[in-house]
Amino acid sequence: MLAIERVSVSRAGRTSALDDFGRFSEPALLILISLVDGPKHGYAIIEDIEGVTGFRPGPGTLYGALARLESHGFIEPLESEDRRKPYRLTPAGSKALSARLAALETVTRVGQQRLADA
Amino acid sequence: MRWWLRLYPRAWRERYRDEVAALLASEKPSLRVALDLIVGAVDARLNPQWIPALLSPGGDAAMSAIPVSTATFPLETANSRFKASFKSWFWSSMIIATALHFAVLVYWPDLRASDLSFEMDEIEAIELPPEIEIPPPPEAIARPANPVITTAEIDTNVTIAPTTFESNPIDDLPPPPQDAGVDISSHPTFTVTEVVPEITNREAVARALERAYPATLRDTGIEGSVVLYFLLNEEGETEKIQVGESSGFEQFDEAALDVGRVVRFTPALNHGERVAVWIQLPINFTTRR
Repeated sequence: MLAIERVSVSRAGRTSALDDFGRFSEPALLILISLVDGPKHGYAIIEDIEGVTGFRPGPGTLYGALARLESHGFIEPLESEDRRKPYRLTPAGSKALSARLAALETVTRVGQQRLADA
Repeated sequence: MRWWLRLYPRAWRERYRDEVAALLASEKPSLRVALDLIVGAVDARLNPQWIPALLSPGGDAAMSAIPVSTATFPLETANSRFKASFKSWFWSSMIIATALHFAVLVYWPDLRASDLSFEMDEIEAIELPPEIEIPPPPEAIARPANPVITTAEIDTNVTIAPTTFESNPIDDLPPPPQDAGVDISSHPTFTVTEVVPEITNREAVARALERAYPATLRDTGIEGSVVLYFLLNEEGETEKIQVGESSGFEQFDEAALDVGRVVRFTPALNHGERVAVWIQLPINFTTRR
């Protein structure tokens, strides 16, 4: 699923910086989605992703994606008294997310169209 | 599970350790989580450019993610790249090796070193001696254990007739062997003597020897020895000279014969009588004097 998605998105025009994330691009997408409805810390993100997709990312995967997202400026950590830092979506992040979702939507539409034609 | 965080590079740990530790506290320890951490650690070491800097009050972590090495090494060479990345590669290798061992221990807990090691039986080729058939021992010689008693009758009253000149007249004796007149001159032979011949003119022989030495051979330092056979008559005079053992040089043999003609002998004696005799005399040509 991951490989198909990547190829298709690049065909669709490389509209998102998430393409550079390699194998972290899918977790990064899911993180962005989960941060849309408010800042969350790592554990909450994992729980949310698992609730949405049934896939529970490990801590190494999660923080690999978080580090990339933060380096790109798509998310930013919030000051917190707790050891667990919440992360918040930045405007650049929500822009990248919407571009990505749009590309995925194109892929989804084409795929369903072809399925219907077949 | 917190131990696995040591696999991560220092920059990552300073930034994320507390967060991930808190996350792990609520995460159920499992092999999947451990492997995920290992993979993450390898990624963090191979791609250190994605690790955000420590939280600054301003919060713009993305700005400081530019590698410092570009300022230090304006001309990037393969060497400088290797120097910058060697630590990452080293630790990645260590982590992968650790993970492999971990996986082996987890999935094959019963694995022993003896399962992997093996012994090799080295067969050495030995040269066997050829088989020989030992002949059977010779049969014991048939020998009568008991003396055989003859059946022949022997008369114990044997008389031997007396030996008298009448029955064996001395007039009929055969003539004594005429060995005194044996001609020994034809070839060298041994004759019994009590007194062997002596050389009477040693000085003359020495001079003759020096004179007869072939100049060519003497100048080239070649030496030789010739054994001459002399036939002496009853008076001790030389009747015949011949080469007995050659020196190998014809010139030496000829010279030795010349010397031999000079030699004078005393007669040989046997039973006080002069006899003809063959004698042998070595003639040595040597450059040392």
